Order: sequence, then C-alpha cells, then structure tokens
Amino acid sequence: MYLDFIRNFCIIAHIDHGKSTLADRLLEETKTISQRDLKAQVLDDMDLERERGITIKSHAIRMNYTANNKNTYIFNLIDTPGHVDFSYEVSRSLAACEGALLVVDAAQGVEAQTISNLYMAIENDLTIIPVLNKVDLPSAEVENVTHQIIELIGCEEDEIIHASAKAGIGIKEILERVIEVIPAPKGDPENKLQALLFDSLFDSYRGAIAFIRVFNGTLKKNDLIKFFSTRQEHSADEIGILRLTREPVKELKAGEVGYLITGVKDVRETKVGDTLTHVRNPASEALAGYKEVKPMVYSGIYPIMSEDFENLRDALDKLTLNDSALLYTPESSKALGFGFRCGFLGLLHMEIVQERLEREYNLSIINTVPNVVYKVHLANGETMELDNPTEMPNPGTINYIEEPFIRAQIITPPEYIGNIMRLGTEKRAEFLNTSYLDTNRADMTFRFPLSEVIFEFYDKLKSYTKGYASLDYEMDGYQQSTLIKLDILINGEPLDALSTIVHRDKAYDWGRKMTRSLKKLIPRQMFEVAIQAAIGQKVIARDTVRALRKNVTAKCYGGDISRKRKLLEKQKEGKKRMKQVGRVEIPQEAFLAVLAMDSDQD
Amino acid sequence: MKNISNNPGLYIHIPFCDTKCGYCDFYSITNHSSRSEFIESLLKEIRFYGCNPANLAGLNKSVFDTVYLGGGTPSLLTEFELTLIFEELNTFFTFSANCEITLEANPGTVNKEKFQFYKNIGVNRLSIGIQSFKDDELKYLGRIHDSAQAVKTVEEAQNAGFDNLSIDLIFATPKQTLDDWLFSLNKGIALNTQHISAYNLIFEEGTPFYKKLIRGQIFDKSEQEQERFYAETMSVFAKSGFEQYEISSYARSDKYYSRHNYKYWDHTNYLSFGPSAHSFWDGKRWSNVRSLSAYIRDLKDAKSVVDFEETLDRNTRIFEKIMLGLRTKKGIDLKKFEREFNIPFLESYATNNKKLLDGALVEITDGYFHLTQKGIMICDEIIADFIPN
Repeated sequence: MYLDFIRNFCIIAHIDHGKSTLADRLLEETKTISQRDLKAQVLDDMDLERERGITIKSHAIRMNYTANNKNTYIFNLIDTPGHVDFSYEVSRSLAACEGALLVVDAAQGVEAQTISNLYMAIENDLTIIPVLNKVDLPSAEVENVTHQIIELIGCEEDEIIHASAKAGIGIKEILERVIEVIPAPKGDPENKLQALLFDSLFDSYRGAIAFIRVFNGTLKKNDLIKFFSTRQEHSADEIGILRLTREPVKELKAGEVGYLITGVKDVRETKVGDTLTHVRNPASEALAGYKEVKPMVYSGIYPIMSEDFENLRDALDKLTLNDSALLYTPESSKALGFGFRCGFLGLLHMEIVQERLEREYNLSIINTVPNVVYKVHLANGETMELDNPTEMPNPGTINYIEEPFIRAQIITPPEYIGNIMRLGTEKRAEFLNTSYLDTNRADMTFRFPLSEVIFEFYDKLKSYTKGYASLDYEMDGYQQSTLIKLDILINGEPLDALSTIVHRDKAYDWGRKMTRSLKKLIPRQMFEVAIQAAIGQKVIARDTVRALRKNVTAKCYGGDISRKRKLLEKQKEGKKRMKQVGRVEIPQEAFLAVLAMDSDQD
Repeated sequence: MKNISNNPGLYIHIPFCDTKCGYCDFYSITNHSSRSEFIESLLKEIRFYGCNPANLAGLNKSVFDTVYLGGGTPSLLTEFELTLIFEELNTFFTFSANCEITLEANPGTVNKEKFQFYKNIGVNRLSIGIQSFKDDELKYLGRIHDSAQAVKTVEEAQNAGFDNLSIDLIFATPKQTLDDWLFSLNKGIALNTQHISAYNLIFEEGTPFYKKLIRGQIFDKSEQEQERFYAETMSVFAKSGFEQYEISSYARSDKYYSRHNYKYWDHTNYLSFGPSAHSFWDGKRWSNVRSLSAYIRDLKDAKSVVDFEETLDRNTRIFEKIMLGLRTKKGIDLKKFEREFNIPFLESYATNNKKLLDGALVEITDGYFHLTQKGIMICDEIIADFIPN
C-alpha cells in the first residue's frame, strides 16, 4: 500500500534552536537540494524571515528518502511559523502531520515555545521524536537538557537523538527514526474527498496557491471542488507536489501533501484550516479544527503625506492577498487625517506589516498606539466590541468593560523568579503557579491582561532576567476590569490618535509619563504648547513646551538669496513630516509616545 | 525720502583678504599672487556684459544707481586697480548722478591717503568691518586690527569727508558677555556713523568656527541668551535714535538706508561681477563660480563663469517676496503684492495670517504687513510657514 511509504512531519522548536538549519540538512541528506543551491534557511522565502531568523508563513517540501531497508519513502516536511502570533497557523500545520521532530538546543535547554508547541503537537496526536541539537557546542549541557526533555515528554533517554544540524551530526539517524516511529498516514483514496488547507500564499501570476493535505479521497486535476467555510466552488486548475519548485501532478491521494491552484485571486478566499471536498459526491463533514481568525491587536496606520492615502490602500490590498489575517478599514482622525484601522494577530504581525509597507511599498507611515479589543457592556444590555479607543461610548452608558487576558508561561532560571513576580505586579498579572523542569529551570504561569503585554513587556522581561527567560502565551478569555479612557489634549484640543484605554489604577502614572514624553518629542514652536492628560473633563497631568524665543538668521548672505531660501525650504521639509494639529506641529514620533515612555528613566 | 530706488545695482566681489576670519564664509583667499590676473579677468567679465547688453532684458537702457564693492577686503585694492575697475564700469554702464558707491574697508588696510583717494574716485559710502571694540574678541574672531585702530579708521574716514559711513558689529560670539557686547555697541554708536549693521554670529557650515562647534571646542550661546542680546541691541539702537529697517540693519534716518542692500530685499535687479558673485535680473538668479582659479581660467577661455542659475517660478517669486519683505521693518506692501501677483496677500494666507496676527507676531500698518518686535525674534519660523506645500 502506497500509504506505508509516506511520512508527514514537522519540526517544532523555540526560536534559534536550529529548526531551519536542521530542515536544510534534511533536504541535503535526501538530495532534494544540492549543497550548491543551499542558501541559509531555504524554507524562509521572505527577506524579513531570513533577517529575523523567524518563519512567518508555513511551507512544505517533499523529499524522497531511500532508507536502510532499501525502500524509498516520500517525506513531506511542513515548516511552521515560530511565533505565538501565528499559533493558529501552527496548529493547522501540525494537523497536517502525523509526527513532529521536537528540537531542543543543548545549550539553551527547554524554552517556553518548546513547551507550547509541544503541547499543540500532543493535542494533534503527533508522534514526537526528541532531538537534542547543537550537541557539539562547548556550552552544550547534554545531560541537563536530556533530563529536561525526559521530564517534559516522558521518553526514554535513548529515544533522544543527539544531533548537530550545523555539523551534520545525527541527520541520518533522524531520517531513519522518522520511518520507524512516525505512523504512515491513514485514509482511503477511494473515500469522499477531505483535504485540509493548512496555508496559502499569493503568487502574482497564479493567484492564491493553497497548501493542502489530503486526508481522504483523491483530488484530480480539473475536479470541481468546494470549500466548507466559504461554500465557494472552484475547479482544481492545477495540483501538484512541492519540491524546491512546484511540480504539477495528475492527482493527490489520501495521505499526500501538495498544492492547489484554482484561479482564486487572493488568499482571503483560501482560509487556513478550511476543508475542501468535491462538489459532486462531497464529504458530509469538514475536518475538525477550523477557526475564523480574529485580530487581537488594532492600530491606526496613516500616511505621513496625505496624498499617499490611495497608495497605502493599494499596498494594504496587496499585502492582504498574501496575508488573510490582516484586516483594514478606512478611518479618519482629526489629528492624522485619512488612514486605516488595521487588525493584527499580534505585535509581531503588526511590526511585520509596518515594515513591509515601508520597505516593499516605500511608504512613510504613522502607526498609532496599538490596542486590544475590549468588550463594552452597555447599560441597555447591548455589547460592543471596541477596537478603537476614540469610539469609547460615554461612561454613563456603560455597564462594565471586559478586556482580553492571556495565559502566559515564562521559563526562567530560578534566580529571576523574584524579578518576574515584580513584572507580574507591574503588569496587573494574576500569578497561577510555578513548577520546576529541573533545578535550573522554573516554569511560571500567569494570567496577564493582553493590553499589558503589548507595551514594553518583552524588553522588560529581558532586562529583568538578563535575557534568560522565555515567554509564550495563549489567549485566555475576557475578564471584567476597571478601565477608563485617557485623552491627551494639545492646547485644550483632544488629540484623538493618542487616546488610550487604561486601567484606572494606572491612569495617573500613565498620564504623567505621556505628557512628559510628548514634551520631549514636540519641538518648540511659535506658541506655547500645553500638553494635558485628561479623564473625561478632569485633567490629571500637564506639561508645557515653551514658545520658541529666537529663530532668525542675522544675514541674508548678501545677494545670495537662493541660499537663504533653500535653508528655509529645508526647515520646511522637516516640518512637512509633522502633522498640523490646530496651530501646533506634531512630529510623527509623538504618536508613538506611549511606546517610548518607559525608556526614559527620569 | 527713503533711500530706496528701483534702479538696478551693481556689485563687485573682491576675493582677497590678509587673513581668514574664523566665522566668515564669504569667498576669499589669502594668497594674493593672482591679483593682477584677477583684475584682468574682472575687467573681461565687465566688458562681456557691457558688450552684450542684449543678453539681459533692459540692460542697455539701465541707469545703475548703486555700486557696491564687497569681499573679501576691497580696501586691499591699490589705487591703480580700483581706477581700472571704475574706468571699465564707466565705459560700459550708465550711472545716475546720485549713484551710491559703497566700498567695504577693513581697519588695518586703510589710511588717510586711501580715504582721500576713495573720495576722489567717487566712493561716497564706506562700510567698515569693525566687528568689536574689545581687543580679545577681535583676536578671537581672527581680525587683524585692534580697537584703537578701529576708532582711528572711522575718524580718518570722517575727516576725509565721508558723511555716509556704516560699521559692522558682531554679537553673541562664544566668549562675549552681554556687557562686552553693550560696550562695543555703545562705542560704535558714539562714533557717530550714519549706519550700523549688527549681526548675531552664525556658525556657517565649513567655517573654522563651525568645525570647532561640531567638535565641541566652542559653544553657541543658548537661545535665551541670544534673545537677550538681540533684544538689548534693538533697545539700545532705539534709544540712540537709530531706526531698525531690517533684521540686522540700523540707520540714523531713512536717508541712510543701504540703498544697495535694499535691492536684495525688494526684488530690484542687480548685476554682479567677480568669483562667487550673485546676480538677480528679471526674475532670474545666477552666480559665478566660487573659485578664483576657475574664474580666471574660464574667462581666459572666453567661457561662462556662471555655475548656478535659476529662473524663479511664480510660487518662488511670491515666496521670496514674502521672505524678503518680512525681513524688512516696513514689511510687505499689500497693494503692491496684489498688483504684482494678482492675489490678495491677506486672504491668500488667511489661516496663517490669522495665527500670526492673533499671536501679535505681525501687524498691519498703513497697508504694510510686517513683523512685530516679538515676530522679528522668530522671523525664520514665521517665514518658513509661507512656503507653499
């Protein structure tokens, strides 16, 4: 039976533990790719991915491996995103596999992401192959980390493969073990078609390209198919397998992994986690696990030059072709003019989008302070989802407000437990428990309001633990909080783009920090600028930018008027990058004042 | 009668100095070896324009009513050199009977005899580069003279019969206290010249002062200090009967305005000769190459020495009008502005003007839109807002 010779698996690891390098070695060992073609991290296509050393999109690649038993196997390696923002995508990629290589850095040990990804793999019933990577490093603590892994997954010591992806140690052993322990896929090619769409990407020539794993039935070229969630019908214009390039095939049978091109223009119609089946003789139900992805973090994105509004729209349009999780709707701000309210899966996702807009589309943008989605329960019994602080209803009409919480796992050397508890207090966390992976690793669990994790959380965690702690989290529902809207007024006028929703106990502190940091960012101008923080009508903090006292060039350079004029034009260029609010000019950095707040220590 | 006219002016740049001053960024060199070649080239340039008046609209019918010899140090020129220049000018251009002829003279390079010669050859206004009456400051600035020489120079000029004298002074220099400055200022006023230019020091890119500033070896005065110096300056001048008619220019009466400088400020044509000299004619600006050797070489090869030119488009002309107008005390002539550009000034910049009027930074007096004392202090800030987006 052909199924016996297929293995579908993925690699899970904490960032920097060597996942991509290991993938490269497997491709080399199976001669899927020659050493010559190998640029570091083959599977990470995007410049951003390679630069940051992270995987943003899922990828899949097919290898042929002739094992010691002389049989040739088809391996489908599915590379998964490595960040909590993309945990849903990760879970769908895992669902496409039967097994996972759990890679742990022998010098770093088990980290938060190792654990969260492992749990997700276990939830998906994957067979785990533990791999201790980088064993050749002088700093490797093989014994310790071996112990951590045994504690974590309850395996035997000899089940852990010692490897070094860099040095090529243990690669063959991994490939053999895949065959030995990871189950061949189940499923029946004669059954009704059920295929999982685990990711998709946009190709400017072909439109959306969906990555699929067939669980049952057989998908043939030109079959009429439909998606369960969107109910859209399409023709399977091209199907194929993924090697270094796409290779068209006539059919994909149960157990196989491949791609599908239907002529669908953009990826918003190819939803990650969706199930596809035949239009005629369809499967009665979808595969489990599909979720509509919802943004967790919102922020306004505005062009610095108002004439760039349409360009920004085009750019966002193009980005969403390949990024269905990005949502955007036009909005306008008194301070910033026309822009878009954008929804992101998380902060990393937000940063990626901003960076791509600036790099790939050459746009200068201002992004406003990010916020989470609040549930506002009104006195009249209605509930509204609030993703923009400026739309906060009048406090008199509000019954109560709920904010999203996360369940966070922090793995740390025990000497930093005190510091992390302190961080927890600062960030309004509820401490749940601490356990020990071994004597050197504490595993702490907290509940944090998501809004507290958005701001300077990682930096603080890093500085509090000298970089030794790792963090992972999952969403953990909504909870009632005492939240209020804090406004920033410039010369008495509210600056809508700087309104935030904060916990009442933090409002004064927050307001003071905001006005102080704005004072530093707003240059002195013709008139005095009063910066106030207010809750409703009540001003709780104030700072003043004094008026400019003297700015006049003594001479006009004799007859060289052009020079004087050019100097003034240069001065004006600088002002152009600022936003005019009333008669005050505000530099774009000011709109991110909140993010810079804690870096000033005075 | 205000000493302002619409006749064109003529400027000649003399690019030689005995030493370079640390703050100065006008083009000059201290090597005098090509003096005679320079004069030869300058005469050639004058001749070129004189022989080709059709190149500039209206030049053949123009009656110039100012000549300004600037530098550099024009007072380094010999009688012979100056005579050659004046003869060449007289050969090719027409000058009005009351033509204002200014020469920049530095103490330490002039004497009684020279002043007498200037008088004889027709120079009727001297601009004397004194800068300070404090010897330590003069040394620091890189000047070759001391305070006593400065006083003597002015007196000699007066004795030679010059009755339209200007002196230059600099304030807010790094080591100067306000008292130091007021000492120099009062001493300058006491010399009874008709005109004083008092400049707040600027650290111009490329100057030795600028380099020291960047390296942190010297410091600019704080904004508050500079404000204080400038405010005191204006107040002392006012008390002494001087009229401030431009940011840095003060005259005992409007009869003693610098007629030549005023042409720079109200878009009157001026034609300039010499390396780095800037001209404005009929809405066009151009400047000569800022290198004496290139200037000499190109004129030898009968090539153009112009290395920058621009034709002001309408928006630029409008902006320059505002920029230059607001630097003068009188301000922008609202009627004239509307006549020239076919747009009403007040309405065209309504939002901006309202902001400025409300803030008491500008006033409208007798049809002129001008800065107030408060506005003058932040003149650059105000002007920049008139640049079209």
